[in-house]
Amino acid sequence: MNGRFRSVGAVMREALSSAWSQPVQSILTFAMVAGMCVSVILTAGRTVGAQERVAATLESPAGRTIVVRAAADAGVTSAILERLRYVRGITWAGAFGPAIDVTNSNIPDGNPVPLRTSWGLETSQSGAPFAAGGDSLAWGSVDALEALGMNDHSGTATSAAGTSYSIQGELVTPTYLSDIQPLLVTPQSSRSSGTVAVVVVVAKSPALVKSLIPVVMGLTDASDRSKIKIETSQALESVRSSVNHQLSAFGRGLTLIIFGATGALLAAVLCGLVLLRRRDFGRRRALGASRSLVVSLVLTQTLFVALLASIVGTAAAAATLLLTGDPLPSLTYSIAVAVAATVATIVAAVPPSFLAANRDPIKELRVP
Amino acid sequence: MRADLVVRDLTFEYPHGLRVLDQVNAVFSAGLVTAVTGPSGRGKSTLMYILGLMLRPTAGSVLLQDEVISAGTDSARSARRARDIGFVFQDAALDPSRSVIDNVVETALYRGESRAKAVMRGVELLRKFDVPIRPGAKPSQVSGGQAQRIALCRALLAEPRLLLADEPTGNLDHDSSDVVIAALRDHAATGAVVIVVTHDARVVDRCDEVIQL
Repeated sequence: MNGRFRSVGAVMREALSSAWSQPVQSILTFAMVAGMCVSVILTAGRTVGAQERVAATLESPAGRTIVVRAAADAGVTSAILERLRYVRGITWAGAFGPAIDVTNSNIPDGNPVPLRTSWGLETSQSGAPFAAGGDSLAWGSVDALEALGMNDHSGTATSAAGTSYSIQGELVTPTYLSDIQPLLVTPQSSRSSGTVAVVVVVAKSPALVKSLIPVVMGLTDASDRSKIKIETSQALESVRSSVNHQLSAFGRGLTLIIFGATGALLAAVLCGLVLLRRRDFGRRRALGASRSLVVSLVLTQTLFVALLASIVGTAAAAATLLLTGDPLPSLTYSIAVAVAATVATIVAAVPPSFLAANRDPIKELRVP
Repeated sequence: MRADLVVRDLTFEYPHGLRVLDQVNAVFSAGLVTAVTGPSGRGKSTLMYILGLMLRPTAGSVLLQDEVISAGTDSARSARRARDIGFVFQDAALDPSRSVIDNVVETALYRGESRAKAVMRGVELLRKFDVPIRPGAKPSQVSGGQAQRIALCRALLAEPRLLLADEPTGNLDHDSSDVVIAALRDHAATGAVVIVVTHDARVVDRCDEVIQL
């Protein structure tokens, strides 16, 4: 076993020495492999980066939301949240009562802002920084507080019926509640029950939205389904699928073309370089190098240069994208490109390595 | 004296039909330097390449210490070349891109031998043959005579049982030729078979045996 390790080490050392002592071949190979990585990252990689960015946007909670709007007499209550708890594929669900307009108590003619009772916002999933506080305590989104003229995020709001609400602070509203902005809520305990006008359900993935619609619809327990309206981000899911499909196909095709073309070019250049060194390989064969050893030497020498070039090329391309502010592909993708470029180079080096191993020592060493 | 290298009924014909060796029988004695000489085109170099296992004979065999070495796979023949056979070519055939010491120890890789040990032995040989050793010196920086001595060091590194030299003094002046011939004789004295293909009458005169083709 030691002998084998020593032999592998000797081949690696010899390959490194050869790469170092043949700068033209090494630089040419380096430039082509690095160029291959740069081309892939700057074209297909940028496409993948854009695709990942678009996908991330579309897969955000806002892109997988189901909003149920129910008329006040539709019979939908906050009990729906309890039923939704047992449905798989739901990340978060919240319910909101009918809106009543309130104004800043200090500005009687101020802007009216809708106030709703809410259930579910007290869960950690909602991101809301508060717990249920009773009917007279309210929290508002930035938009709502600005509309009320409460720049210090506190004060009192009054409804047309004369009910006062103490504004406790800002409600950090998640993106999936953007449909019911401006949002001013009086959070209710999960044990309490009340009429619901809006139910917001966030699916675990955009693909689940379509299948969750009938489930959510069924669980509303509405007396009259014609009084219920469903709004979804299903269209976004179609866009996401389409974008994924189109950009993936484009990126794959481009990558294959670049790898294929550069690989073929590399094979041709390496064959040419082997022919330039045919006397070297002829001498090696005459002095006792087996064909397999010559193949190993050529492949190992190419591997070292390709590995270095892949790393440098990929890093340089990534740095370029960062500097220009273009979409950057994921680290996994970049590593995959570097590995694939190295593998493509080794594959391209196989025919030249066999060409080298089959040099006829007699022909190469004969002195005219 | 034991006959160390024997050629039996050796025939070689090139693929296009030209027969250069026909039923050649010869004995190359261990401990002696044998010159192979004759007019051009008689197959001197071809014989050397067959003895050096770079060509397969069309018929007949080559035996080294009663073992047939002319048959076998390419891999086995390569291994034997690296282990048992040393070569000195007419133009030294050094790798110009590598250092002098790298050239001398090149065959250690093919034998699977430790490079460190090979370097020690290579340095000894370079000193013995009076080749200045400068770290990193390339073959292009030495004279023709020194290049041939470097090639000789490479051939002697493994202390081969068979040393083959093809016109080793063809490009050398008298002094350098004398160094090379003396080295070949010294190596034969260790019990090896040394065969020199040459046209040079001075070299032939200093060989122990002569085979005329």
